[in-house]
Amino acid sequence: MAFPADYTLLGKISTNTALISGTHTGLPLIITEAAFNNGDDIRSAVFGNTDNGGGDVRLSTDAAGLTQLPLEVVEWDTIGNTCVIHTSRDVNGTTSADIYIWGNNTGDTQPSVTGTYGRDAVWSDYESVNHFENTVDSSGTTPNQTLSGTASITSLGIIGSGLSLGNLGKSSVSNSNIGLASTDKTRISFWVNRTTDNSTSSFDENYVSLYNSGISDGLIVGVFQNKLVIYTAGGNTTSRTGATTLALSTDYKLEIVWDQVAQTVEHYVNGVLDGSAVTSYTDTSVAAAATSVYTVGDSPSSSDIGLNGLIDEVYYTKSITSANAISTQYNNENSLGTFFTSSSTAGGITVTGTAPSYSYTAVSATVDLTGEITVTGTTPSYSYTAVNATVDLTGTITVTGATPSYSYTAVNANALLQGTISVTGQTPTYSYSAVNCIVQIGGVELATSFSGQFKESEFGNTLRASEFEGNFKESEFGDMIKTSVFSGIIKESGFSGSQK
Amino acid sequence: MAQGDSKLYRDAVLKINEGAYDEADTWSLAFVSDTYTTLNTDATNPQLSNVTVVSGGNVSAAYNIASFTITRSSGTITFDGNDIGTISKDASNPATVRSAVLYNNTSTNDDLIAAWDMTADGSTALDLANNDFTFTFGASGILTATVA
Repeated sequence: MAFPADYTLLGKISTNTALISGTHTGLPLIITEAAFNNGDDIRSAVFGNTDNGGGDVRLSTDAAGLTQLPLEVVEWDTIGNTCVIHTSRDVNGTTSADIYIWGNNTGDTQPSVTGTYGRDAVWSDYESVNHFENTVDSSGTTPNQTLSGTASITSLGIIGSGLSLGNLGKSSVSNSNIGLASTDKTRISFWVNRTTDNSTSSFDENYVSLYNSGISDGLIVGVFQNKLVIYTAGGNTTSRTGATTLALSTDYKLEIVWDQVAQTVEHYVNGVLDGSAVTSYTDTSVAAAATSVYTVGDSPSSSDIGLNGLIDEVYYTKSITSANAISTQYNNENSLGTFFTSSSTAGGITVTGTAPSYSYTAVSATVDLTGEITVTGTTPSYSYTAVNATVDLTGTITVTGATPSYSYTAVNANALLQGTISVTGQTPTYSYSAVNCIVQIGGVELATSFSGQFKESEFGNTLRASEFEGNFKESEFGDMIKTSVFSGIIKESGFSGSQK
Repeated sequence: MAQGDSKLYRDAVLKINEGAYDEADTWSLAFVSDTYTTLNTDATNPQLSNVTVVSGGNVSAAYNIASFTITRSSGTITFDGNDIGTISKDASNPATVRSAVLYNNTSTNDDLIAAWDMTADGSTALDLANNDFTFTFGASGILTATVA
């Protein structure tokens, strides 16, 4: 099942440039059903022509489907007409970017997660991606999480399903792929809704940690006294707290960006820098260098406590760390119904050209044989058969070379043989047969034989060694007829000139 | 008149039959501001300089047709090649695209071969600032010749 040949274009969504800051290459974006009803309502077209589960959903940047986009389908419910999908696309705050939605290829499945347009390609710049629809890590880099304690997947997450925690629950994975080098720039982001404030004057609520407890090295992101906090341990244990007081039972997107080289820490609340960037953040430990534990929801330290509430869309990247990317992705996730506008038409302009054509046809032709006929070489043979026709053989008939043979057969015709018949070379033979014809032969003929029935015919001038056989009625034999033989009936005919 | 309509330059057919072109030549497509009806297919030696090529932004001045072939199946000879792909919208794209012409880029004078109407009404140029644009050759190919 090939794309786009086996697919049907179902609709288009286009980015709202007002919600995009800067220019981004391959920025991961989330799309839910809310994007299909801002403008034309394309939900019916999209969900009505795709398989439940989204196996035959495809995305492209163009109406022709020539540039396919990578896709992760987290949820695709054609019964409830809901979805949570992710793609990565070049976007900017100047020109609207289109995403074309394709489907109508029942039975097809999503590309392999490692395929060119598969799940991992959406998150190629991420170390870990947890949607908490389940415990699968969508980055393709970090292994899947394991739930423990009071942790559970709930369908009532912040974006689609999410992770529900009750103080002592957590999701975690231990893997050597997780680690921090001293030159790393680290961005941890997540959506959270706190049910209770568990932080105390001394201890944090720990939400996401990357920690090697064996060497007490790593970083922890959480909340301390209702404010976003980063805590790093190891070479120079320290922490920094943000500015904004976070309310309970409220959705927040919280992020930190830690640049170990620049020694800066930035806190972000809902896509906006929280307070000022922290400078001279001097902890440069190679945190969690070896096998580390990447934990969501609880603390690696027994002294701290975890989250009592919901946590969702937990991402860890070392690449996409700019303030513009943070702002744009927050707007995307927070404004699912307005980040895109929807269109029922493919949009764009498609012109399919017809193929001009030209043709060849051979037309039945008229063959015209008049004028001078010259034959050189081998013995030509001409045969003229006239039936009830007027045959006009005028002009010059010239034969050079071997003995020509002429045969003239006229039946009930008026044959007019005039002009000069000249033969150079060997002795020619002429044979004239006529039935009920008027034959007029002028000029010089040699060794000519005439047989048949000739009426009112004229045999003129010099005829030598000629033979006349048949019925000659009312014919004229003129001038010099030498050594000629007459047999048959010659009636009412005239001989003029000299006969020998 | 309809968007996508096409016509052949008669001198192109003459030169094809004279053997002036080769399958291995470079055959190119260009977008022009001339309206389809003004493109004179009866012109003698029609060439690219007789039309007004437009370019800019994501629109190139010439698109060389990849995988150009001349093949025969029964009584139909087909000239075919790859489509040029989608041209992304851009504020710098020309605002005067009305027709497309195919020309032999190898010939001395860039001989015109065929033309297509890009407009929906015969005169209104395409809005390529706000719309992606895809031009594809028809299912029959670029052009055909038939032998009766």
